[in-house]
Amino acid sequence: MQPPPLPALNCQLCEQPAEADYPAQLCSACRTKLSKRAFPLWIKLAIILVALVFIYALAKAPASLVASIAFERGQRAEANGNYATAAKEYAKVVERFPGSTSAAARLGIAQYRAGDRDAAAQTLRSLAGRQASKELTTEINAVIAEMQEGRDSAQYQSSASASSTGGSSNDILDRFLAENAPTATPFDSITQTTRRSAKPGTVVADDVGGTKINIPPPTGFFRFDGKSNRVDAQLKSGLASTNRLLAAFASDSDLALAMKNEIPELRRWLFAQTLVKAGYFTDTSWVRLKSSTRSDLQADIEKLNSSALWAKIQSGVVSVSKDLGLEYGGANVVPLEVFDEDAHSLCYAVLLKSQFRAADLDKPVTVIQYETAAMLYVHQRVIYLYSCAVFENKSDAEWARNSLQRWRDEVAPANQ
Amino acid sequence: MIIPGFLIALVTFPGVIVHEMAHQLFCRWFRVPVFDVCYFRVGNPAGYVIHEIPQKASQQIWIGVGPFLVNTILGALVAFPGAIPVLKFDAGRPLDFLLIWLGISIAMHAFPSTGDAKSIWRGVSSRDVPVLGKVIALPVVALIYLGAIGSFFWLDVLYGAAVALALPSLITSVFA
Repeated sequence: MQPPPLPALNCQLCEQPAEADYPAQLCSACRTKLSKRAFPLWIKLAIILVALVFIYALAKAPASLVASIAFERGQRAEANGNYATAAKEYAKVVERFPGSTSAAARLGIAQYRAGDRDAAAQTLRSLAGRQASKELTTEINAVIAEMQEGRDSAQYQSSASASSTGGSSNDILDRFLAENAPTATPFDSITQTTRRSAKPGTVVADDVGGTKINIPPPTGFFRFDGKSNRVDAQLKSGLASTNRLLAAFASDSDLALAMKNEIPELRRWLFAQTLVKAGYFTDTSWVRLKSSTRSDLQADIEKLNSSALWAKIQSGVVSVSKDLGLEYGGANVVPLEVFDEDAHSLCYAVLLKSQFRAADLDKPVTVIQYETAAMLYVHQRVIYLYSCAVFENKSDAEWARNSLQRWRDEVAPANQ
Repeated sequence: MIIPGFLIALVTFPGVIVHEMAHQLFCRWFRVPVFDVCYFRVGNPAGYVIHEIPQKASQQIWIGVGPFLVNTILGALVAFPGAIPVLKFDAGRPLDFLLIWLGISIAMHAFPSTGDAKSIWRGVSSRDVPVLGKVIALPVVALIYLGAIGSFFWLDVLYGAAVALALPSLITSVFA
C-alpha cells in the first residue's frame, strides 16, 4: 500500500502552490520577485554616483597607466645609462602630469645627462619653489652644480664658441643658471651657499635689462657720481643718449672736488655704462657681438666719428665746456686694438683727442685721453667698463689697460 | 590600535554598501530569494543580506565569495587612476584622493564577514561538492576565512590598501 500523497504546500506570500525542493515555501513568481528585490532609491542614487566616478576613473585610467609605464621605462633606461630614452619616457609623464616634481626632476636630470642642456635648464627651472624629498634635492643640486662647473670650464667656453657657428646653443641653461639657479630648487641652492660677500662700496645697479648687476669699486677709487648736480651734468654730457651711466669712480681728491660741487680733474678714472635698453643676451648672441666687435672695431669707431650720435655728444660737451670757461674745439676717437679677451669679456683701447680753447690762452689745448673699454657679459647682459687716463706718457696707457683688466676681474666674479 | 568597528565602517561606508549589493547581485543571478537587506547601518554587522539557503553548494559559495570579487575589482579600478598620480608622481588632486578613499573603502570590505565565511564553509564542506571542487575551493575559502577573522588585526585595511595602492604599481611593472 502506498502512503497517501503529502498535501501540497502553498506559497507563504500568495497562497499559490509553492515550488518543491526549496527550503522556503515560495511559488515561482514570488521566488523570482524576491530574488529580483528592487534596490531602494538612495541605493540607486548611490549606484549612479559610484558609476559616474567609476566611468571617470576608467576614462582617466589609460592615461595614468601610460604615464606610469613610461616612468618605469624611463627609470630603467636611466639606470642603464640610456639617458636619451629616459628623457623621452619622462617627457611623456611630464606631459601628462606637469605638476609632478619627481617626474620633472628626473626629466631634467636625464636631459642634462643626455647632453640636452637647453631642455634640462628649462625643465629644472620649472622646479622653482617646489618641495622635494631630501634625496631628490641632493641629486638636483648636484646636477645644478655640475651645470655651473660646466659653464665655467674651458669645455663650456669651447662649446659656447661652437654654438656661434651653428652648434647647439646653451642659451637657456645660462639664463637659468645666471638668473634662476638660486631659486631653481626649493632645495638649499649651492649658488646661495657659495655666494661671495660683496666688496665694501659695491654698487648694485638696478634694472640692467631687468636684472641687478653688482659693480665693486676699483681698488683705490671712489664713486663720485651722484654727489653733485654739476658734476653729474658733466658726466651726462659725455654720455650717448642710448647709454646709461651705472657708476663712476675717481681718486679721493676728485671725489672731494665733486663733493665741493667742483669739476674733478679726472686725470685717471673709471666708470661703468650699459645701454638704456639693455637687452637680454644669449651665449650665442654674446659670442656674436664679441666677434663682430673684435673684427669691426676699427671700422665702427671710425664710423662713430662721423655719426649723428657723436655729433650729439659733442654738442653736450660744448655746453659743459662753457660752464668751465672753455671753448670746446671738437674731438675724435682713434681706435687702437683689442688687448685682452676671455669667454666673458673683450677689452679694447682707443685714443680720444679733444681740443679746448681757454680765454686766457693763446693756443688751443689738446687733451689726449687713453681710454680702455671692456665689454663684459654678466647675468645674460652686457655692460661696459671704462678706464681712462689723460695721456702724458706710456705709463698712463699701461695704467688704463691694467686697471681695466683688474676691475673686470673683480666685477665678473661679483656677479656669479 | 583598536578602533571601534562601527567607526571604521562609518568612514568606509561605500565599501559596506558595495559588499551587500554584491551579495544581492549574486542572489539575483542564482534566483535566490532575498528576505531582507540592510545596506548600511551603524552597528554590528554594518550591513547584511538575509536570503534563502541556495539549493546548490556552489551557489552558496558564489553568493559568499561575490563581494570578495566585486569589491576587489571595483576597488582596484576606482583607485587606480588616483593612485598613480598620488603615489608615483606626487601630483594628486583632490579628486585623486577621493578616488583612493573610495577604492580603499570598497576594497577593504572585500572580505566576507565571519557569518559569510561560515556560510561559505558550509557550502564547500557539503556532500554536493566533489573532492576536486573541495581541493580547489579550500585554499580560497581558508584565505577568505582568514581575512574575515584578520579584520580584527587590520588585515582588511591592509588588503584594501594593497589592492588600491600596490596593485597599480604591480600592473605598471608588468606592462613596462
